[in-house]
Amino acid sequence: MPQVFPPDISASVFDEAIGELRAAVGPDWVFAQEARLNAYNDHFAFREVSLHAPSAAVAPANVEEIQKVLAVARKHRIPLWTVSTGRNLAYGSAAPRKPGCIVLDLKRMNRILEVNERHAYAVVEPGVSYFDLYRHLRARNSRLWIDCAAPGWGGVMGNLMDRGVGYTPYGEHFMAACGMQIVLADGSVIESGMGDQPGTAAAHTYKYGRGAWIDGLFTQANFGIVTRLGIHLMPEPPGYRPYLVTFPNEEDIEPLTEIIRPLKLAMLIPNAAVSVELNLEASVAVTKAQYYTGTGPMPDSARRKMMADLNVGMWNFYAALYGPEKLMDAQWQILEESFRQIKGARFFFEKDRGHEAAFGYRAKLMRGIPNMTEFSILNWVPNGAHVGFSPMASVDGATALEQYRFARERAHKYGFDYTGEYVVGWRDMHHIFVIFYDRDDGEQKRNVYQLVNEMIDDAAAAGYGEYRTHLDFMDRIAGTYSWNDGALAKLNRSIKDTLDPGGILSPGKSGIWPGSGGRSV
Amino acid sequence: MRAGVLVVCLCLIALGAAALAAEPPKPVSADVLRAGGEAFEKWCAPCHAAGTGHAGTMALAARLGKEKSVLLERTDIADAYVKTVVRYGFRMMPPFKTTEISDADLDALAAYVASGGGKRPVAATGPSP
Repeated sequence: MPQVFPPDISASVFDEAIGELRAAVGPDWVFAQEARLNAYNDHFAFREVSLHAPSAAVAPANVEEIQKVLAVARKHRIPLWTVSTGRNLAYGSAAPRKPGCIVLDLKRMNRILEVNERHAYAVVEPGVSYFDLYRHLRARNSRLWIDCAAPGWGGVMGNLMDRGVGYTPYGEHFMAACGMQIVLADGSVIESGMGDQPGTAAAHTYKYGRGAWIDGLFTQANFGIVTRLGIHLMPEPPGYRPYLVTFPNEEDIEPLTEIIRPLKLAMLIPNAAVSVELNLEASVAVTKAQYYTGTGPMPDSARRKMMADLNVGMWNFYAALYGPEKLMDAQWQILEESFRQIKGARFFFEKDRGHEAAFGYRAKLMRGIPNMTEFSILNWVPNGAHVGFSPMASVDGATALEQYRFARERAHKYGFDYTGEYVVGWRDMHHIFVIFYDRDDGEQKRNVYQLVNEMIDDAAAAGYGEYRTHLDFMDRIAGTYSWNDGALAKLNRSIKDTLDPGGILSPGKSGIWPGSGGRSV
Repeated sequence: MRAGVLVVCLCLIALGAAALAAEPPKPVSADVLRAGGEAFEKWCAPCHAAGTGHAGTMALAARLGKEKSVLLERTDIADAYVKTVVRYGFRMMPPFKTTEISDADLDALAAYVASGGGKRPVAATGPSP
């Protein structure tokens, strides 16, 4: 790939800036040559890699070095693209929205600054992964659990800042955030919530401080750089009982979702309630080719064979109980009666299936043990890559069935399998449709791009909006949030131009562009 | 780097390793084994350990057969190959940044993998890409 430069920056100015960055963070932590920069590209790109290619990457070790980097960026008007671990491969990994940005890689800021057993929280820097925090807690015999996204290499802060979810009762990650340190584009540093009061003892136990609460402004946005985060952790419960209920028919997602809603609202299902469709359930254990070697989506006859071989359902519901045995026994009685209303429901526990890939890794996730098993889903197709399409809805059975049919019909039209799941957090339902494709197959990649664009438009017409997305769809999805002539987008731009008048922080993130820097692609 | 170019690079590395194999392989030192083992456990084992539930092991089994699916049981992996795959990625495996695996750790990791976790001496190859 030819050398990439920041937008409107000459080679000589770029070289000058690189020299200044080296002085700011040390020569070993500025990367401009291809062998070092390659890892900041989108490994699963379905369009040209150059569309999101960075010109360089810089890795500061602390806030002071970030401030120096910002000074260089402001001086030359070079945009930065901030990542913590850059490991969400379904949404673009560490690659910038706009080519030529310098990636601000915060992985070196990987300290776990505090673990408070009494009040059950931790304070972390951006580079701390789920594996890091889990190992740290286990090494000190902590009684606290973490909540992790499915791939354990993900960042505690990065996933939360992108409003990702996990699988324990603390699975709504942003809900667990409590206290941020934020560096603004001008280099000033602020503490949010109670942390703004010098000497406060409640910086990580009470979120809101007083007055305007700003933390949400810095999630899925580009108004500042969060450099420290308090996060609430779940105390280890006296008992834990993961379970799986399988359902034999596609249409079962409708009554299943209707059953889930009141159980979630009453907190009888305390954690993320996950309904996994057959193909996705199977994909951690088998490849598509083991059942079907033709082109296009797997036929239903092969799917039925796979379902029988794996002893799973067309829908597979995972959740867990937490607490004293007597309490779990009482809760289970209600849950079992509820799920038995669906004909053909079958029940499984850890002793039955904990040794299997699918049950095993979900049982780990629901108790906050990070692992990488879900990455196995990429083996569904050879040389697999994936991208997520993730519309939100209220918890409603008819909607779940409609969205499933909506996604499956369009996936089949473009030759892909439907591979998805529903995750009910509390009152909301994340529909995660993971599209698998061969990362070197040009036709499949073109189809992925067309399929997702089509689904974004059709979903918006049906009243569904996505909760986050890949770099290539940020603008299109932002355009579907358009009430009152795009009033919210205008507010976002006003905030952007006030806090970051030079447009140096992550231009284009979530469709938020600075007034001074247009989009180039 | 495009996949085709990477395949060529990997082939060249294999040829280079064969040429270097004329030099006597050296045992991997205890310090390198310790550092490489730690890096392997942190970055590689979650996908490449033996048994079910490991994405990389599953991928290698599907492509090369079960007998070549567990990295530390392989006898045909040169340390330069490990370094290139880690820095450039290969198929579904993404590349790893210098901020994740340092050059020194990558050298130790590559020696650890190429030696099967210290079971064999390793022919020396070049520095990290």
